Amino acid sequence: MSEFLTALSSGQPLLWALFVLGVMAFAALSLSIFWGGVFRTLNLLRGGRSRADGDDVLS
Amino acid sequence: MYFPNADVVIHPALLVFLGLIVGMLGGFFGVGGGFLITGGLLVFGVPPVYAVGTGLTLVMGTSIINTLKHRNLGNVDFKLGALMVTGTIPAIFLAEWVNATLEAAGIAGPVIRYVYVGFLASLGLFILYDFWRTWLRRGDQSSAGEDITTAGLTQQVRSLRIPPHRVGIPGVGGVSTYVALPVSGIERISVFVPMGIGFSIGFIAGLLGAGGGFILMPVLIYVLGIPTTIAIGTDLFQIIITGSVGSLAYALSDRVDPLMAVLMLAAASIGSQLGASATQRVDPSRIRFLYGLLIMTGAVAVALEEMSQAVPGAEALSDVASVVLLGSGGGMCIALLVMMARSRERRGGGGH
Repeated sequence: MSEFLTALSSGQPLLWALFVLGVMAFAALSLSIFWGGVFRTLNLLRGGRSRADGDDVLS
Repeated sequence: MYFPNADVVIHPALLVFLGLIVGMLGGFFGVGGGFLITGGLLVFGVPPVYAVGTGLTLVMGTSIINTLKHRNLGNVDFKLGALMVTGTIPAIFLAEWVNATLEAAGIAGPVIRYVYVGFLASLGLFILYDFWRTWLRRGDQSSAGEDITTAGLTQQVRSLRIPPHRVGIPGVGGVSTYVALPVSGIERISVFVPMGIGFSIGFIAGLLGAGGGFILMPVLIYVLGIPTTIAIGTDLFQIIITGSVGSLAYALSDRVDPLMAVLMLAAASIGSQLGASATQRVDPSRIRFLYGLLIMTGAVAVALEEMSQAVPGAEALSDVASVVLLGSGGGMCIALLVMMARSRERRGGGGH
């Protein structure tokens, strides 16, 4: 992976920039969905009922 | 762990720790946390150009996570955010041109840092002063809620009449330039006010090389009179745009380490869940007070950084600055956790 990252960054600047932004956006969305689901499930197991309850992870 | 783009070896636990702090403070205060990330990465031995570029990339990622979280909590005014963005984007490019001109004149570094210190210190002092005044006004009540000292100013700004009052759009006809922003509690405001605010913030942010979130959040509260939690959520939406533009610029010149950014983002995503939810539990006046403290610490850190470069033999002050930033960030997170625990206890006690 190291070779891939260094080769792409030095050889294709525009592709590299779009790759970086894409990876970050994808990771952010995936993590957001993942943790949202985890906390909502935990809240349901603890007896919470609404979506808003699940979004307040401290409830 | 080896990070190939920055060509540096860092223990992943350090990056996870930094990511947690950034995510938590970002979710709580509505800031990208660029100054905190850059300071932390410098302490960990990341080359400065990669520290700034990777920091901006992480700011973009954490802002997406925090915006989505605040959207679910009903804290984001997308209409206001979109209006501000139309002013922000051209301002960033204008600021870059001014930056380049100052750099060509050889005065970019000192000018920008002096402006930065002055700006942060003034902002922090004002926020603390506002908290003190509203706290005194409320007497023995512990909560000042959304009470602010600039209520008169916000009314004046909201009632500004800026021509043209109508614009012609082909195929649509005449359209009023005044809008309602119900999420922010604004019945009617000229679209040129948020656009102007977006432009000003974008220009200052571009000039200082920051995301601009640390300025926008207090401006939305003290100038537009928006509730603190809505200001936090809307501010984060705006940072997605400024952070994306910044990280694109740094990535184009190969000054970003995505592996490092993704690792910190994973940790930040947990911290942001806690930070964003904490805004529902902590009194708005206390959020503003803590924010004032954080901004003041930022001013001290940038001043130390400036001294380390200006005073011969004082290079060690640069490390002190980064430690001050990280220490205050960590301390702030602990304070937040304590406040959340107390809030939970009160709720638990109230239920019996």
